[in-house]
Amino acid sequence: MAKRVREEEIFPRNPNKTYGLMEIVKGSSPRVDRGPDDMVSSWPHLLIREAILFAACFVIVLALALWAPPPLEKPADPTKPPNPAKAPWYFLGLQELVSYDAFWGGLGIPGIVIIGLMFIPYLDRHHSGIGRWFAKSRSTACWAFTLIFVVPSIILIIIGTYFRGPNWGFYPPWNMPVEPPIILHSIFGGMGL
Amino acid sequence: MAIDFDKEKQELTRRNFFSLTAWGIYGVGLLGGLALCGKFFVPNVKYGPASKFSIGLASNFPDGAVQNIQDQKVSIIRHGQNIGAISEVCQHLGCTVAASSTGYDCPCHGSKYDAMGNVTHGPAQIGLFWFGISQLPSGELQVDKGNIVPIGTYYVVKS
Amino acid sequence: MSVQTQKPSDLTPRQEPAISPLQKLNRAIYRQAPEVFDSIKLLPYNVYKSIYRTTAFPKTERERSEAFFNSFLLHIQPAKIEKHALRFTYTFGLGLLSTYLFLLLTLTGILLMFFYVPATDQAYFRMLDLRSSVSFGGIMRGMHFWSANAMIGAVFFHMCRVFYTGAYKPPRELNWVVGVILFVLTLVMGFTGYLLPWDQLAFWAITVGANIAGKADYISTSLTGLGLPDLHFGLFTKNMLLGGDVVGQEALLRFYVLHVALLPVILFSLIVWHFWLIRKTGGISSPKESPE
Ligand code: HEM
Ligand code: FES
Repeated sequence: MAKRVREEEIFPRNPNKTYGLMEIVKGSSPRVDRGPDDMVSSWPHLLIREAILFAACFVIVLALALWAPPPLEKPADPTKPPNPAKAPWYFLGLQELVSYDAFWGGLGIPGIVIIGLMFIPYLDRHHSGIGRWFAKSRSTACWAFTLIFVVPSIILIIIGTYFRGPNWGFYPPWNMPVEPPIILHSIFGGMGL
Repeated sequence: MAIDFDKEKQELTRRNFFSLTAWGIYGVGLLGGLALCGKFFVPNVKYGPASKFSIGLASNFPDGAVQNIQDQKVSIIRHGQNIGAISEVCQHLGCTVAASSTGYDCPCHGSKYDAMGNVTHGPAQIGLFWFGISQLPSGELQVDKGNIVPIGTYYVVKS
Repeated sequence: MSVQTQKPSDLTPRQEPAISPLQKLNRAIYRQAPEVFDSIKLLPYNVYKSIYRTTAFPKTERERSEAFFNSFLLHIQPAKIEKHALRFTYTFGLGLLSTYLFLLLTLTGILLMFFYVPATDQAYFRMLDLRSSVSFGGIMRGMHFWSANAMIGAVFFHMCRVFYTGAYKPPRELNWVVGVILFVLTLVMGFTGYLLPWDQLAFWAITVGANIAGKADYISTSLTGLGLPDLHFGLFTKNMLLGGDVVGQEALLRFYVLHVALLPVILFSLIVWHFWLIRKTGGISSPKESPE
């Protein structure tokens, strides 16, 4: 039986060394402090960024909590809805849609949008423009996403939030007969306005 | 677990057949169990105000008046000898409508109804429900919210 | 530990001189003391080492990598990362921000649970108590409220950044789909949580929301055209959601359980899956993947 040669006998390990022979590769220039493919150590480069982001996130949320306490309306009264009865801001786009048609606004269109979103990566498979913001080769896709999804979502929320008053009537914001919407109300309330 | 087709005999191999059957039973069992969990959430008993309630004697309702029974969300109207019960639950998405000069308005998404409960402005698509009224042996009138009747179906007071 | 040895030639059992139990104890302590003393001396170090298996301030590349491999929390991330992935203006940190907000929500949410009762005659007053008679109660509710609102925004803009950088393209299709589900679930969390204060906004927003679910009847009614029986999808969903015909005690309890138990567990699992998929598809996207 041939004696098995242990790796350490050929490449003796020195625990004080921070490098070792892994394999022989082609290439001519040794690079210092930089791995192949522009890689850096996650410690500390990634970690420090994550720590800063967490601190910022925590401080901002805490500041908002102190400065603008969350709203609490009157206790629930099943006999009498407030007028206007508004959902939280992120559903006001939906509420605006629902005010045209209950089924299509509340289920039909949102359902189609969500299923549509899920299919995007299976339909748009062209391997270009990955890793760049608004790559030129993807301008059609970017415009389509913006005009079909992003802008309508935001506009509907803005209309529902700032342009709808009592009985869901249309009022310009400077002529709104009721209190400002809840988020703004609590921010400005917090400012003592 | 691939499908193992025996080309000569033109059928699944015996082993494959049993394997598929076993997994099939396994899957059906799991799905069945899950479906039973679903049944767990179906409310067998519903809590809430009773669907039949008494509104008292017909003489409580003067001619031409609209009376609002708040905790039942029902309006009682009377024209001459005719008494009707109109639901105040908006046909759009269930807010409570409020009486207005033209009939009923919904604060949630702006539906409007006339005094009879017909839609005059969307998004609601059908008029407010009318409920059947009957007379109890005591002489009191009873509204049955389980009994939805066409708009304009009145209880006629015998004089 | 005492080791007994016997010479094989010694056939008769050796007679130990009788010693008192006290002497026995004395000897045992005498023999063990140095070892025990050492363990005590090294206790803090050993405890630390068993938890955190790497030096606290790694200096060499190898120690830095080990810090990631050996830590449960850090090993989720790669030990080496492409410089491009670190550019703030590439991701704007939005995915991570969503994660942090989710963690803050979990933390403040658990604290709020200690004071909240999901009963129609108590919930609202518990909200008032939180503000008036619980130390930091108002701040906890405020942080929960603002994190929730911010998370919706963060997730939405994260989705936009993923789209505009083409980061959903193969091989990351599945992660985009998981992301869309996360987006929907984040909204559903907002919806279920909104009922819990049991105030006017809460009650009517959920009444309207549940009736929207009820409109799914439109689908089953249309299907009757194909000769199917009318299954009343909408009414069924609404009843399942509310536990009745109207928003009441049953609905509050259901929304509470969804909001504090079921949905967070699903959301957490999907976030873990999301992260795993990022690693398995080679880290976050990079311009190297499509030469332009
Ligand atoms: C609860 C919500 C979510 C959390 C916590 C989350 C978290 C993250 C994190 C931490 C990353 C790493 C990169 C970065 O920070 O941008 C990431 C990447 C990614 N996310 Fe999300 N995400 C969420 C929702 C979504 C949504 C709504 C989508 C899209 C529909 C999405 C799709 C993706 C994709 C495709 C990547 C890979 C991006 C790349 O390779 O550049 N995620 N997510
Ligand atoms: S609920 Fe009345 S208009 Fe929507």
